[in-house]
Amino acid sequence: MNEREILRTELRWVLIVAGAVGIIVAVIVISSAAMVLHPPSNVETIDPTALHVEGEFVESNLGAVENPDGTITARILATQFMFVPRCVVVPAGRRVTFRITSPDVIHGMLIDGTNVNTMVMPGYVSQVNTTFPEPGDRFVPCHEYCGLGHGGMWSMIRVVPENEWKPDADGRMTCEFPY
Amino acid sequence: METYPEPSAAARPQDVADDVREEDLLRVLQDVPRGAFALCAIAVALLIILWLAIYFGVFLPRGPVS
Repeated sequence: MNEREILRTELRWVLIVAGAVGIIVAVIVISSAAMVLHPPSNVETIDPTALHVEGEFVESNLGAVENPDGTITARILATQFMFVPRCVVVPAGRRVTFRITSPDVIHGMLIDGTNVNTMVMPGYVSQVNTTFPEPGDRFVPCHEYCGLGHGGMWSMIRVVPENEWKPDADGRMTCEFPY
Repeated sequence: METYPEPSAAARPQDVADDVREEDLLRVLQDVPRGAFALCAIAVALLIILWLAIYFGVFLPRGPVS
């Protein structure tokens, strides 16, 4: 095999590898554009020392609420060592916006079986939008070590069918105990 | 200052190159790149297929995030 043939073989291989990378990039770009997928990013600051006295994260405002346009906003407080509220009800098939913050240390939140996965930092509001296609209970552990009670810090997202989503006059619905 | 001679690469039997005839070497080199090409192609094809399977079979069914 002479050098010209070796060079030709290498160039052919470069084309194959470029094609492989091109396929992956094309799939990501096309599906991201068509399905509006992108990494959650939200830079929004909040005073972590006043969460319990003022603003949207006061205790009475936590949990899921239906917005006038039919979408859902779920506000969750991640604190040592629990998520408040412990269980959040949302309807399947609707756009859900999770807004989460922390009054103490860095926590993490992921929803099992979905792509929702975010850090929760004191002083910032993490925001993730998603849609749950199927009803069911989703386990939500804290995935950032936050202290000795970290292992017991978890909550649940209860995705109910559309016909079981029955919010009260304020647009809120809570989990029935026990959960 | 006393100097020592550098040891030769051929000082030990295991360091001496095998005695290969030039025409044998060329014959082997004719075949090797084809096999390597096939092996690489199979490896890359598997990589792409598995990536697509995980993307469409696991990532997308888990719902969109933004």
